[in-house]
Amino acid sequence: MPIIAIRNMTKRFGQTVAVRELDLEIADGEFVTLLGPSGCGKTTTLRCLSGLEEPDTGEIHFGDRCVFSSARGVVVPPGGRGIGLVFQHYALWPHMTVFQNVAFGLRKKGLTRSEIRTRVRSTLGVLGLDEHEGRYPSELSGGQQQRVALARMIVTQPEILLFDEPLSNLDAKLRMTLRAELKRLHGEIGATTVYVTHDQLEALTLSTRIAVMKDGVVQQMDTPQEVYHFPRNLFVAEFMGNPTANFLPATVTSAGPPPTVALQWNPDVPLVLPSPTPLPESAEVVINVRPEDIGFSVTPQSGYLPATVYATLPTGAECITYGRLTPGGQEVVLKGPEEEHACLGLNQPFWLGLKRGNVFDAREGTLISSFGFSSREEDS
Amino acid sequence: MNTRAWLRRRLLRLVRRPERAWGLGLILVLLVFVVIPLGYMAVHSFMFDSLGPRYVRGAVPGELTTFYWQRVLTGGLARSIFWQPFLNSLLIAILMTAIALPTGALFAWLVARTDVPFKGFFSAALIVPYIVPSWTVGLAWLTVFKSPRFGGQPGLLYAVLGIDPPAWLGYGLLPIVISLGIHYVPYTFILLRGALTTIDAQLEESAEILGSKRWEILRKITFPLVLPALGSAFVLTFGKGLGEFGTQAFLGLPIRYYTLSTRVYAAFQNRQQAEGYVLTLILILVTTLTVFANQKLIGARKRYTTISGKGAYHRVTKLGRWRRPATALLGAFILLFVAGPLGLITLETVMRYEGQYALSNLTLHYWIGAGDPMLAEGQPGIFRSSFILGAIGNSLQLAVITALVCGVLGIMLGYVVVRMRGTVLSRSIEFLSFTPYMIPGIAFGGIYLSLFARSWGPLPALYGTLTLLVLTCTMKYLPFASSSGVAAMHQIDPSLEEAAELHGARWGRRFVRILAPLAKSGFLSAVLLTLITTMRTLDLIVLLVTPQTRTMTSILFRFQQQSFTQHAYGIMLLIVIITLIGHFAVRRLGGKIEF
Repeated sequence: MPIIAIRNMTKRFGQTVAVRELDLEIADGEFVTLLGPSGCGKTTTLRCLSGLEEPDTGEIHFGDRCVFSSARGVVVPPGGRGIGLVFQHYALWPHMTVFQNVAFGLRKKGLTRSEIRTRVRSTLGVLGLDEHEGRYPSELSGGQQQRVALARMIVTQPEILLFDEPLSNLDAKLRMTLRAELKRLHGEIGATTVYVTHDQLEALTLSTRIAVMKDGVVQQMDTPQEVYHFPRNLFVAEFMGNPTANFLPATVTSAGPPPTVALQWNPDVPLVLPSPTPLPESAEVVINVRPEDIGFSVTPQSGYLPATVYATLPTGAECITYGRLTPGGQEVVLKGPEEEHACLGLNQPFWLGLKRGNVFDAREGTLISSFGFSSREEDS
Repeated sequence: MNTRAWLRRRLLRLVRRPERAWGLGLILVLLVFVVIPLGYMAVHSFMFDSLGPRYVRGAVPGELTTFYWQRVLTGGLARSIFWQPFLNSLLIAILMTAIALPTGALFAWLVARTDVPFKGFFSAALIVPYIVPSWTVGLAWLTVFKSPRFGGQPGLLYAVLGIDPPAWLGYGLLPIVISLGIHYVPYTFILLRGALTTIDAQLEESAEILGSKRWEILRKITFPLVLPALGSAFVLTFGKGLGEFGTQAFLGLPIRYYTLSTRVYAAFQNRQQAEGYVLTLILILVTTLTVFANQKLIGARKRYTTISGKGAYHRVTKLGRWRRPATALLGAFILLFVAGPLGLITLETVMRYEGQYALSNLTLHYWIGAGDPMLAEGQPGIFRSSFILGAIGNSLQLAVITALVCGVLGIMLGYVVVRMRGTVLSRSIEFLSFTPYMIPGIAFGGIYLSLFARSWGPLPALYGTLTLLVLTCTMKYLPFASSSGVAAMHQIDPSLEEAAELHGARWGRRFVRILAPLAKSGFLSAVLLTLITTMRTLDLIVLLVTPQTRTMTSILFRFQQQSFTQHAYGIMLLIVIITLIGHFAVRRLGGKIEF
């Protein structure tokens, strides 16, 4: 039985539909990320789970308990749902000390003063905040405030943890540290977690499953590897990956297997896609290849496309190179170890080959086939 | 989904989030006490009032007519009832703005940007004319320039130098313009000083790097940037000046120099309600037009925020040889128009006979003396007179109750407006709660007199009760309280409340534990500001008071008309002291001055 089940949930704000007929199931102990651009409905979904927002229609079940049902008029208030939430801006009460902030939720639970003190102290200890219990939030650094917010959430031992872009206000270094901490925390308490972010790296590193959302609809819900390598449609393919993957419009010239395609920009070079599945003859498709899945050569090779170097952006360990296909001029981006790319100078001609990728229906935008992956991956 | 489920959800939501229920309550209050009075007045300006039959043969009170509009605008008496007072009002507003704006702007620039000395002192002292009642300078003016020709005692000029000042120097346009001009200098001063210190210094420094001279920067960069602030200062000064009552009554009525506001007063005083409505509507219309004209002139596009947070450090302009004259100018202004008037008023209260400037004439009789039939018709000293002490008690009671009610309403209003931001309800509440601001005090009092004096619907007749005064002051000063409330609630991110809700805190607990502590200083400064404003209000309540509900300002007005000068000025001094204490309490709380 899933611990969280959302059924047919819709939430409107005036004319705009924030969440549209959403169905979502999350198993006990999972770490699910709701990922998507701003306005995709991920935060609204989270707030509906927390009870701070009330859906227009649908049902929400936590385990065997119904916490919201529009049909039956069930609305369990946020405080009665057994959840914890960390807000984007932490929402620490500025007029209370760290201790008071964390203790707030315990005061109603009928605990004695000393019990409260023990529990607050031990929670603060877990998060390395022992020395700061007398401080006010404004006297803490961003990372420490974040930890207080975490402490305030977990001190009441909720079954479900909700996070609303909790790391977006921190600098890159601190974000990395806290990501590790969040993952450890999830492993330790094992509470089911729903985490909202627009940062794909955060989603990929933390989650057991990712739900990519757009316009209030879940586009794909899968493991991070699956979402990254086999995006179900063009939106997911475009959203995942940094820099954005390459999308090359093409026509299928021979069904195969292996199928052959001709690129719209450079139809003279027939491209044979290493795939065991045939493609419909003369179908309009989009070939999607990640930057790291493009090989290159400074000498012509069969099945490789000619291009020139537009710009190289070394980042230390690796290098991102932007090129332009010749003829055609379409931009392509490839990523590889810096020492390999070091030989590429400005405007220099080179040849690139598509090692593995996905084929999408150009009109529908849906995934029809993948190529170049080892068969084990393709089966999954 | 069935109806019961829907109803259940609605109810649960209402309990969980009270803002909608409150919002509806507030709208009801605003409808009853703002919209209906305005509508009532507009409708009744087209109906014969109870005195109608006296003017028009066969007129039936309540019958529809355009008689009053014609009488005021085009009739044979229109010139003296309306046009002349209207022109006087306009002239006063224009001239006093012409004094207040440049003076305030110059002082703001001197204090904010130059190396003029004693900045702290000047800043504090320059705000005083605004804190004390607007007629303070006017009353002090009289002590110097009044003449026995218009009843009463001689002024300082006559008594000491033997010069009988001409009427135009003692009463009417000139002194009204000067005393109101001085009262409104702080408006421009405060607004412009704020703008000048918050402009991003980099904007000016960029021009300097491009080779601009100081004067050019001031003209081409600084001035356009502070223009919106100057525009607000203009509207506030001009709009308020139009509706001023006290000064115009004290300095105009003795020589029958009428303005729109004193005409409104006279009409209601003479029970010519319908005429009063017509004049009130015109007064409100003109004030409203000023506000809209400003919005058109300055324009939404130029409403840039000049606050940048960083780079607010401005290099000080060295005045060089102008430093001394500038210091002297500021000093002279404070001596002549701040310290001087207060000193003269104080002196007046300890003089047995007015106009006799001799040590032997000094007395504390008017403060602590028992009644003397030869002095002020036997009226005992301020601290011995049950009549005056009663008024002080009433004033304090009125101010405290009004302030508390306003403060609570303001916080509720702020909560609803901010939490429901974007809804029609929120916008209507914000707009309606601001409306009383556009209605001059004397007009507001007039409307409430005619509407709530008699029993009306479920409301009992309120005439002669303190409740009526509290009601009037509360609604009139709601704009201050609501803007403080909205500002306070803006500071509190909704997530702070939601975080408590997640821990199961119901609304009451959220309010006590989270909202109240965070909104505390905003609430207190709103309360104190309303308190001092109510303490010094005359125009708003002058039509509503009865002997039982007399206040300090109302008996001051009466004593002044009876030429019980020492008593009047003594009460004046008490009001000044109370308002100054209130003001410094607000400052200590870190509150801002509201206009």
